[in-house]
Amino acid sequence: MEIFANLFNILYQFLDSFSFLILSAIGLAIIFGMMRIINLAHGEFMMLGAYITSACYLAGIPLLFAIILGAIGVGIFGLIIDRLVICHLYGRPLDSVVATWGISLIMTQGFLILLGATFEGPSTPLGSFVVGDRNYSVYRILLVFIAISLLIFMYWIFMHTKFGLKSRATMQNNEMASSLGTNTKRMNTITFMVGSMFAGLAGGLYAPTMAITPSFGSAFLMESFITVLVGGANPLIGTVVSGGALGVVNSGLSYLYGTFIGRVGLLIVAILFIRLWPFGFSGLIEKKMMRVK
Amino acid sequence: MKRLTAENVTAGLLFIFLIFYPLMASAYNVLNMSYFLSMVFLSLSLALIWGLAGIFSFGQTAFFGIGGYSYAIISLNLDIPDITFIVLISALLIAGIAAWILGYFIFYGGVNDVFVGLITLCVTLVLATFMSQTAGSQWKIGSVPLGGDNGINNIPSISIGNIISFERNYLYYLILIVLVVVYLLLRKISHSKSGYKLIAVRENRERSELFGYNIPLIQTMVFTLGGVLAALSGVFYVTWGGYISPSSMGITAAALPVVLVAAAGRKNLTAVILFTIIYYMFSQYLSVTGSEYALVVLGFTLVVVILLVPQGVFASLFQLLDRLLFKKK
Amino acid sequence: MSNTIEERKKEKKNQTTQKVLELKDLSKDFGGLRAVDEVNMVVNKGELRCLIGPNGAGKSTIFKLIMGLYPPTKGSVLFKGQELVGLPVWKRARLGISIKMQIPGVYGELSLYDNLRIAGQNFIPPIKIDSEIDRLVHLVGIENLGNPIVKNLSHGQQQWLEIAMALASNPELLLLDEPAAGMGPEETEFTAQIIHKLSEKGITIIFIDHDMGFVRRIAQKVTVLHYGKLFAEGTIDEIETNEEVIRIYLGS
Repeated sequence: MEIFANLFNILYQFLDSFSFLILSAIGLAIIFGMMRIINLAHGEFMMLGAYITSACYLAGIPLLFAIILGAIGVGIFGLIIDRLVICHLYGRPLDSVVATWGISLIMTQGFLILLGATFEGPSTPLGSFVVGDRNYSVYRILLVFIAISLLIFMYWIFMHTKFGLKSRATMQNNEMASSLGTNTKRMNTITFMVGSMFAGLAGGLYAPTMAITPSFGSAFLMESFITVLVGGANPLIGTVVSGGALGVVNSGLSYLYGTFIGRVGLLIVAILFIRLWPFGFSGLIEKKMMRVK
Repeated sequence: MKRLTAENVTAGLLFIFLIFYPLMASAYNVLNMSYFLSMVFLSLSLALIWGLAGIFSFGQTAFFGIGGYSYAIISLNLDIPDITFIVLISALLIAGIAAWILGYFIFYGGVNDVFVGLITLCVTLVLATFMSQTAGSQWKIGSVPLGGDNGINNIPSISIGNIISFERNYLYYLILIVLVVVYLLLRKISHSKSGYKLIAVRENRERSELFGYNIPLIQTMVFTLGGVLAALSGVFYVTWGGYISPSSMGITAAALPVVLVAAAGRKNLTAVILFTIIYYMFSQYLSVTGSEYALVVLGFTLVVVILLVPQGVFASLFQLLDRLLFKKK
Repeated sequence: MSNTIEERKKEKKNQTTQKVLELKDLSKDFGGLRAVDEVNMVVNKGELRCLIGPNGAGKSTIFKLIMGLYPPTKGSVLFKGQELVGLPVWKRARLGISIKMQIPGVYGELSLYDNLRIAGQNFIPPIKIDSEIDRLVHLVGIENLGNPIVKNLSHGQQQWLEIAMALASNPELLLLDEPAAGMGPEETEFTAQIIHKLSEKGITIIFIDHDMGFVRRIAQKVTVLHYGKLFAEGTIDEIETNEEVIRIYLGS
């Protein structure tokens, strides 16, 4: 019975880590994969989602709708940011790093000044259950299912819709896609909006599990970045594989040595990947596919 | 070598001002200015590797930390005031070796552009995260506990036996003299054969390789020099304040030099020095008057600069003044 | 540095017919595609050789293999008898091989002087660098351009500057990939004259081009490539009357 309890614990940690990485990374992966833009304000976009969700929840809106509103709100915010700043930086990865860092600073400090250090947020719904001698949150298990559903949804969009086809074309070859008339600039704006929406969604989903503070985003930023880096340009395959691999590393190390070492482990994996396989898992998989032909 | 340009005039005026500053300002302000000048080396290290050689590193604060922590650990272990200069050199040496190893790992592995920034960011965070969890008493080197988030305190200042202890005005002038020397050296390098090597690397790596440049070696060497400069900043910082903690290597600390150098104009050394000093004066003023606006202003400056003045605010200003006042050949 | 300009000038005076470049069974695969297929080729000292062939025949790939931009799948590249495979790009450049590729290879943001300085710094001692730059500028015929920022030069002027830059190392082997690409008839003629002048000075030159008029103007010997294989070799007259060449290369 104890073995089962321990196995369940390890499995739970892994799935928890996996869904955390997937949910926080999807938005970033889409933006990076399509536009080669690194959004250092990604964590703050998630924070915004958490704040909108919390505000809606406090206003009496049911949690589910509050989260959806959070996603939509950040999507609109992303549209504004794209029109104001990002659209001038397409194809300038270094400049986008610096500029989005600036946006991140403005948002973090802005929220701190306007709304103070803490904000009241929703509490974790759905209670908990017991396995062995530990409590487990039902909500976090729900998040695992949401993460997997999201991946399936994304797969469907990429493989079976016109938008998905255009996106894949753009990811493969930006120049060629624009000459084929897929209107890359418009694609970029939509992509940034969609990526922002996913960030807002993730923020809203995790709002009931964490304190709502201006530095909410920093808990996600490094992890989501590393997931995207290790995953590579393909938001689907890359994110899934890297989420899985990093989930193992993170949960394994945290379980054995604590969260700090878990984090250090992630960073070291990232360093190794950038050095050895800068195109991430996507690059490795694509190379294998090329050889088969 | 010195021609009449806006940059040279500004540099001259700036250094004259700094030389006479302790005569005009209070002891408190001189103390602050020593801190500001210490941080200038960090900015200069990035201006060297990014502005001149095109290497975008988020990791200069890692070497800042290595320099500071090394000096702290060695000097507190040895506890001999006479040889603090040797400790300083040792700290720089350690940082240099670390930079060489990291540079070799990066550049001989063919990693470039944005990925260098990402790898160095990860390295900085590894160091910061690791040092943060060294709070327990088992975490010490020699007799010096690493102190986790609290860091290391009571770091001794640089001194030459009982003759001079570099504190207050003495420290100020030490830092200033070193700054002037480093500045002149860097300017000389910019126009020398080595400088052209760095420019070749920056402008087009692949093309320059075809002209006989050993790109990874040049990158590793300049990265090492950048690491040493950043470590110098760290050493001056700890001898000024007597204290270092992992927050000097956190993500905000890592991004700050990038912000300053990008906003000032990364290819212009004088712009970088001036902007760094002004930023630190400004944020000091703001924090004294109790305001969090410094970071918001910084954020806005970044966005505005990248969009409107990508060459950098002061660098563009110098160019403008040159065109208006000093007509070029 | 053992290969100074003085030493190499002496070598040139002592020369007899010498194999400058030899490709042995050179092959290059990209995934499943064989871009270069067991090419055997010899270029002798002082030759002015042209590589022609339909698009995708592997010409530019061969140039990149010679420079070392990627390793061959099989085979050797010998420069004056020395195996180049395994040597990094910068070492090959230092041996005296220069290349001007199809895509513009000038430093657009820098001045003309700085461009030449960067190109020549590894080969010219600091004291002589200014006079050498002056000599190169006159050699190529761009002395009246002054010292502008290079991106402000016309396309043709940038090409000539790049040829001057390729000469800064006083190379023994010069590779030119479509040196007159994008040029009008007058500029093309000027380019032909430059290349002819350089050949007379004893530099071994291999160039790639599609314009048969240009090839006819200057090439001594022509190598035809097709689907990565060496298809035919000979003088320009022999090639132009070769029926098989005409067939694969319709419309020259």
